[in-house]
Amino acid sequence: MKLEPSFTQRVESASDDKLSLCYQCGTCTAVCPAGVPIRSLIRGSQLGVRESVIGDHRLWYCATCKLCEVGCPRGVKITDTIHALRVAAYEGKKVPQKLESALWGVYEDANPWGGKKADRGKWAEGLSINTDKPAKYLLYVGCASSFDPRLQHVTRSLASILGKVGVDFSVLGGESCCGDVVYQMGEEAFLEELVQANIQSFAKSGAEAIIAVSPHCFNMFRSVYPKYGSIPTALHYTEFLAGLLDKGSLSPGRLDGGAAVTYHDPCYLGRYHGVYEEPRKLLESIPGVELSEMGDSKANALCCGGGGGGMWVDQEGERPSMHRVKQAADTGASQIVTSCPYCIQNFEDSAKTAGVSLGVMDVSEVIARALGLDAGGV
Amino acid sequence: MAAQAQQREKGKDILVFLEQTDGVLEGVSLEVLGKAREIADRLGVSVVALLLGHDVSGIADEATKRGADVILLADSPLLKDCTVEAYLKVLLPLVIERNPAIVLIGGTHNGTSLAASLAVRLGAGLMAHVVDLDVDKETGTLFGSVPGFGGSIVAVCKCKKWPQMATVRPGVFKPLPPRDSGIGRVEPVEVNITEADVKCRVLERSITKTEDISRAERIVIAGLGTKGDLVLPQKLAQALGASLGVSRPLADKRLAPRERVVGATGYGVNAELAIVAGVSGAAHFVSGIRDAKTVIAINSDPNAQIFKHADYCVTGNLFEIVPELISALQASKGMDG
Amino acid sequence: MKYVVCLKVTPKVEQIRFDEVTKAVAREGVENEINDADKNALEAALLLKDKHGGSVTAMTMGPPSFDPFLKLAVAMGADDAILLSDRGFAMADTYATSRVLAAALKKLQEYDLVLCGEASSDGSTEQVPASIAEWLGIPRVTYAIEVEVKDSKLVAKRSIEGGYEVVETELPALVSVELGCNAPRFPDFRRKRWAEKEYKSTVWGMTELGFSPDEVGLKGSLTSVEELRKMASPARKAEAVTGTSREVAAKLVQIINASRH
Repeated sequence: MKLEPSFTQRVESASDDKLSLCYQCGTCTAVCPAGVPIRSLIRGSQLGVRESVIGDHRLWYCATCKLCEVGCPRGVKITDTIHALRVAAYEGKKVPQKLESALWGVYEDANPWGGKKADRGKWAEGLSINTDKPAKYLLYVGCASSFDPRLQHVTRSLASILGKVGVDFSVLGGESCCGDVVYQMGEEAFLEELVQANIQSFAKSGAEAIIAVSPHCFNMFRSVYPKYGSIPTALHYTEFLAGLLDKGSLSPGRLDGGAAVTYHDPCYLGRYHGVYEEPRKLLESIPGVELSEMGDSKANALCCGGGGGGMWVDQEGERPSMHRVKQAADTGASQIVTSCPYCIQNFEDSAKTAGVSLGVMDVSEVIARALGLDAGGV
Repeated sequence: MAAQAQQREKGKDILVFLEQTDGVLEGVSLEVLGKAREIADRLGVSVVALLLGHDVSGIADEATKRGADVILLADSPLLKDCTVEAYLKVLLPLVIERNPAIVLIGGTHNGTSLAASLAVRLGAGLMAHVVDLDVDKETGTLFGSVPGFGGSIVAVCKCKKWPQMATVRPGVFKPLPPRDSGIGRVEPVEVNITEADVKCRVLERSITKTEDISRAERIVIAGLGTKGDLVLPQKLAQALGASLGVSRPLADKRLAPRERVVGATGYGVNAELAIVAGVSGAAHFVSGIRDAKTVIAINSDPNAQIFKHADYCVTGNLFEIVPELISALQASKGMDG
Repeated sequence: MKYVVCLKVTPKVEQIRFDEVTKAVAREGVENEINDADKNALEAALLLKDKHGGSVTAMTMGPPSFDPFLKLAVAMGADDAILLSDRGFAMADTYATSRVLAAALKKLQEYDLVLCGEASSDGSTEQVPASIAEWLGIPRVTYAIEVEVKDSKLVAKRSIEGGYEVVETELPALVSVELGCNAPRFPDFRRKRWAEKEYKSTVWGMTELGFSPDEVGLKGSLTSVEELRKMASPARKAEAVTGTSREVAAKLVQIINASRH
């Protein structure tokens, strides 16, 4: 087994020089919902056994949920470490095939889902969305929310809310992937071009702030893009709507029939950026909505398994979202409400597979209903 | 060396290549023979069929009842496998000698490769997997409808030289039922090739008996909406006594064999009933169900294109609807039984 | 070992519109891509190079604006790129196209294996690969799903109706590969930037290939298009069947029984 000190060095600096702090307690590995052998990957990185580490296919199980970091007693930047390992794995051509084909989609059709570039704007059919005039806010829809019929309803709900409140917003006519899946795979050369192109599009839009539908796009804009250039302030839509609520611009009416709901914190919104209260405030502002909390909530929320490229990788064993929908049903809620497209896709799948009677809704869909807006479809 | 395109004299008869694999005649060959007979009758010319293989005289006899006036039979152990180089060596002089007006070849993998190679040697134009053929009685010009751009557009083409060549898409034309009269004759031809002429050696061949979906009376077609799970569509097919087809992407993902693909690059179906589940209905697929009598489409997207090409449209989750349909069909069978 | 991949740059099929008035295909603003099956051919060549060494040359017939796609092939790992570009090559059918590609291969003089995708996404004739082989007088194996080189021989598994064959032939030979037979590697974008800045594709036109105008392009084609038609679709009822899954199922059974003759 070859020891490569240069490998140790690069992972160390990518992890903000915290890699050496790990003393192998194994808490991370115990809490990991995806079965990633975190302890051994970190130990391997400390020792510099590059080939062994990047050759471990379980490196790709990681949904980058950060639950491991919550429990780590030494504050090791585990997610950054995993990312550095994936960059090394990409260089070593050790990426799962499905992920690589997603890259082609991003390059040729601006999305990793197999959708055609020309169809990206179809979610907006019937709504008059500004795609060519400068506006104060740029609503960044994202790939999943543009192409998936279930998620198109979320996008339409949000667009309708913004329209009703009179927010001056535009959507990019030729919107292109934010690059999250590219980043998660450890590919850097293409990512740079993609990010730069988007940064230019954002500048051309003249927007002061970007409102992202997906926490994954939101995270890219908040955390990754600034490394390449400056962009307008990035917000997740729940932050933006909560702001409107505070100002009194958003006044949801009573939700017809009421609803007992439980809110699920998406990893990329909660643990990544501390956005816990805003979605709850929005739900609690709706008369008729009874909000309950699951056992593992906020910083301890269980990941749905979708992040970090999770939507393209087949994990061994049960998908984490299976466990989560059972947890949600246990609260007595009839709906699990969340604010992330991957969570919605995973919960819709898992609720069916688990045979659990649980509706899945996005925060925007609940608000839209409470505002009496019919976004069409589902 | 390939021959330069010569100005050959205008030919007369229609030549049809009959393809066989391991002693079994390809269905498309009989379809092409039937169409050739129709064209030949209109022009008042003969249909000459070419059959190459080993121990295939039985097939030759069959073909005499299906529209050929003459079957030129080249029988040799060296022709047991259809390999382009060896077959071309035998076919070329036969074609040149017969000087046909038209050469038609079934658009199978081998047929297409053979036709393309023959066209280059003859310096002839070749129209690709035509879905229709028409001939001008006056001029003898053959017009072929060539699907393109994913199947939504058809180019009506013609050839600039003689012979006029075309490969024919399987499942488009109908074979003639076996006749008792007007039977053609078999003419054995000398085979002048050596082992050195057989450039490709077939080391192994495996054919599994897959049904011919282009002739199925009922068919269930599964698309990407099934998420690659063919168990449910298969169960529905069984309950209906139907064949199972797939849309192209499922075959591209290696979830189903090419033989089951319905669409421009696969087969056209002329089923009495086609149930299409989880297919979005892109143009290249739709061209495959054009000739189906009754089309029922199930798709979760209310705006799916397929609904414009179906007689009955069900917007919903196929994973919920199909199981119910299977139960209902089994129940109704129980009641009839 | 020298591998040459013939690839076609094709328009994105879903962006093409058929103009019912002019009865022509509208190509303005349509984006291009490397034909998917040709990406598989390139990947097959790169896999062979990874395993056995040698070099991979990518070749395409088209206008200068297609050069970026050759650079993309270089970014994927091709060592050289050749662009066959001449006004006179335009509007070629498969006979004229294969003739030009074969002439370029002949000009290269030395090559061991020529690889192509089985068909293009636009023309879809599936005729060019076998035609090229015939112009060159080399054996061909079409619709390959697995390609291997052993002792100067091509050994390939090819798909035929109802199954497959394993076929062997001497090199030099031509092989066409089935769409989706492998997973084309994503280009190395650092190499792509280098190729765009530093690498110059070889460009050959009619003169370099020794053609006269009536041998290539539209003039050299042996088939012609009389007219374009939209495929006639039968009128469909498009009747909605609604209700719960159970109700829908019951209604469908009635429809199914009624459809039987």
